Amino acid sequence: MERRYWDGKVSEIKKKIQSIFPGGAWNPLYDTSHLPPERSDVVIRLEKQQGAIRVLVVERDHTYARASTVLSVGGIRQQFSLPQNVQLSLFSAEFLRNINEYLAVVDDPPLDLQFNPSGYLLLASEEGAAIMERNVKMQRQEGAKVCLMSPEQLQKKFPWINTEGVALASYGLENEGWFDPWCLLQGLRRKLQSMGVLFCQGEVTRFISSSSHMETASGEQLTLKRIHEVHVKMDHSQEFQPVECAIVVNAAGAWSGQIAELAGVGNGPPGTMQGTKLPVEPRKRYVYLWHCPQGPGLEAPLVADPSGAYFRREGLGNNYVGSCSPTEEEEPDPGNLEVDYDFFQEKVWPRLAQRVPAFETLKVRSAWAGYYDYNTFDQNGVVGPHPLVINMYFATGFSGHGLQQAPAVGRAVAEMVLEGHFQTINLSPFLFSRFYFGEKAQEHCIL
Amino acid sequence: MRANEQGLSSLEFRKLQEVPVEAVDASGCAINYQGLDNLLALKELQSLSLRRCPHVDDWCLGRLYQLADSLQELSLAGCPRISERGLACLHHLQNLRRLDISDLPAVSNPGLTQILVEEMLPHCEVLGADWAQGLKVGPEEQSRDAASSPIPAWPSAPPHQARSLPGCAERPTAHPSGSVGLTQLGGSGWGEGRRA
Repeated sequence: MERRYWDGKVSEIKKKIQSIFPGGAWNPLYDTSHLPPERSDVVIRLEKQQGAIRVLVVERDHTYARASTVLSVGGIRQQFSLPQNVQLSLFSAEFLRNINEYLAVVDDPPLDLQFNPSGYLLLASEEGAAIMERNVKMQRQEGAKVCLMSPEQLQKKFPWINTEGVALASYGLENEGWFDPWCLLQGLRRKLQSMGVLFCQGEVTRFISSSSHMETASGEQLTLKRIHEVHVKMDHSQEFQPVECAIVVNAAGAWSGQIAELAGVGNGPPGTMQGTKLPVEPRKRYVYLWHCPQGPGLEAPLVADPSGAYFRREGLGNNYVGSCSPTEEEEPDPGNLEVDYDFFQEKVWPRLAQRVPAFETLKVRSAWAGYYDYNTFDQNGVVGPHPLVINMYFATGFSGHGLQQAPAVGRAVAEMVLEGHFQTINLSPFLFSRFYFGEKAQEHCIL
Repeated sequence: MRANEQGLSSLEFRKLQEVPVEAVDASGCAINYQGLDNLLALKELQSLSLRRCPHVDDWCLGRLYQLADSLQELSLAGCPRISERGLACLHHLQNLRRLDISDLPAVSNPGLTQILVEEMLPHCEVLGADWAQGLKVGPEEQSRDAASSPIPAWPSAPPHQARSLPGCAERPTAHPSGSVGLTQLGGSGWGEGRRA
C-alpha cells in the first residue's frame, strides 16, 4: 500500500478524534460497552468544557468473522441459578422486545430480530431435580415466567421426547427463545453511529498509564494505575494511533484476557491483587445444523438434556441446530475455528437421539465453531472497574450467555461509569475483586 | 372494544361486573403487549378476535398461554406483525377449536406454516392460506375463479370443504419453492445418518 495513502488515513482518523462533534444528549442507556462480547475495546474521552463524552470503539475485525456474537445460537433465557443473571436476562428481553424504540434511527427501517418466543426446556435427572426446583422458585421470585413439569406432563406436551431418566423439567413460558444476533449487533452499531460514536478498525497494542503509590488504612502498600493513552495499531501497517482517554472498557470477549494483560492486570506477585489475572480465556464451541424430516414440530422449545446436549429448530423446514459443551478433558484447541465432526458423531448425536428418538435419522448439513469468553473461575460475567487499574472497566467473561445479557450489562457499566455504583441490578458479586478474594459467583446452568 | 352486549347505560354496566366475559372482539384495536394484561385477566374467555391489530406481534402471542384453559376460538387474521415464529406459541392453547391465521403478511411461507400449525393443534380447525396462492390457474378456470371471494369467511362447513376453491380440487402437497427441508438434499458428503 502506498505510504501517502496510509499517512492520509492516519491523519484522517486523528482529525476525527480531535474534532469536536455535536455532543448531543448523553444517554446512559446507550453506552457502547453494551456491544455484545466480541473483539472490541471501547475508549471514552471526557471533554470537561463541553459536557459531552466522546466515545471510540476499536474493532480489530469490522467484519466480525470470529466474533462470538454472530456465531452464537442466539438464545435468551431466564433459567439461571443466580438471581443477578435472571434479572440481567429479564431486562435484556424487555430491551429486545422494544428494540425499535431503544435503537430507532431517523429514516432507517425498523429492526426485525426474528425472535422465536418458544422458550427453553431444561431437563433434570433424579440427581439434579432438587436443585432445579430451587432454581425455578428463585427465578419466579425474580419475575421470570417459568413452570415445572413432571415426566408425565412432559410426555403429554411433547410426545417426541423420551422421558427416560428425566425426573423434572423446567419450561420458560415468556421472554425466552432465540433471535438473530447479527441484527442486534447491526442495530446497536447503527444507533451508536447516529449518536456520534466513532468506530475504528485497528488493534490495541499498548496502554500508557501512570502509577501512584498509596497506603491503605491498614498500612498495606498499593500501586494504583490510570490509563492515559491507548495505542491502536492500523491494519496492515506498523503505524499506530495514540488515543488519549479517560476510561477504557474491556469488552474484548474471548480475547479480554490478553487486553487485560496489556494493561498490567496480573503483573505482580502471586497471591496479591496485583498478581491476580483476569481468568477469561477463549474456549471453542461447535454448533451443528442438521435436517430431520420427522423431527419435533413447530412447538419445540430449545431443549437441553441433563447430559448438556441441546438443540432447537431452525426455520420451517425441519432443520435443527444444536451441540453439547465438551468436558474439561475433551476441550478442543482454541487456536482455530475448525469443526470436529467426530465430536458430533460421538458426543452429540448419541445423546440427542436418546432423548429424541426421531433424531436417530438425520443428516448434518453444516457446522461452525465460535468462542465462549470463558471465565475459568466461576463461568460468570466480570463487570465493573478493576480495583487497581482504576479506569479500566470490564464487560466480559460471560461463558456463553453474554449475548442475551448484553443490553443489561451495558446499562450496568454505564451506571458504574457515570454514577460510580450499580443502580438497577446489583452486580457487585460480578466485580473483578472476587478473583482475589476467592468468592465465587458460580452459575450452574451453563449450556 | 365492544362487549357482547350493546347499548348499555353505565348503571346497567356496573351490574354486569360479576358476569364473566366470554368473547372479546378487539379487531382493529391498537392493543399492545402491556394492554394484553386486560384480556389475559379474563379467565373464562372463549372467543377472541385480534383481527387487523397493528401492534399485536410475536411477543404478544407468547403471552396467550394464559388463556389455555378457556380459549376455543382465536382470530389473528390480518395482523401485520405476526410471523410463523409467534404462531409456534399457540400450541399451549389445547382447547382451541377454531383458529384464523389468514392474511398474515409477515409469515414467510403461509402454506407450509398452515400445515405445521395444523400438526401442532390436531383438534383445531385452522383457517389460513389461500390455497390457490402460488398455483397457476389454467385458462379454462379463470372465469370461474373471478367469482370466488378472496376473503375467507369464518368456516361453518367441515374443514376440507371450507378450504376448496374453484380450480383447486385437491389440497396441494407441501412443496413450496425455497423450502429448505422438503426439497431433495444435495449430497454434501458428510453422510446420511441412521444410528447403528
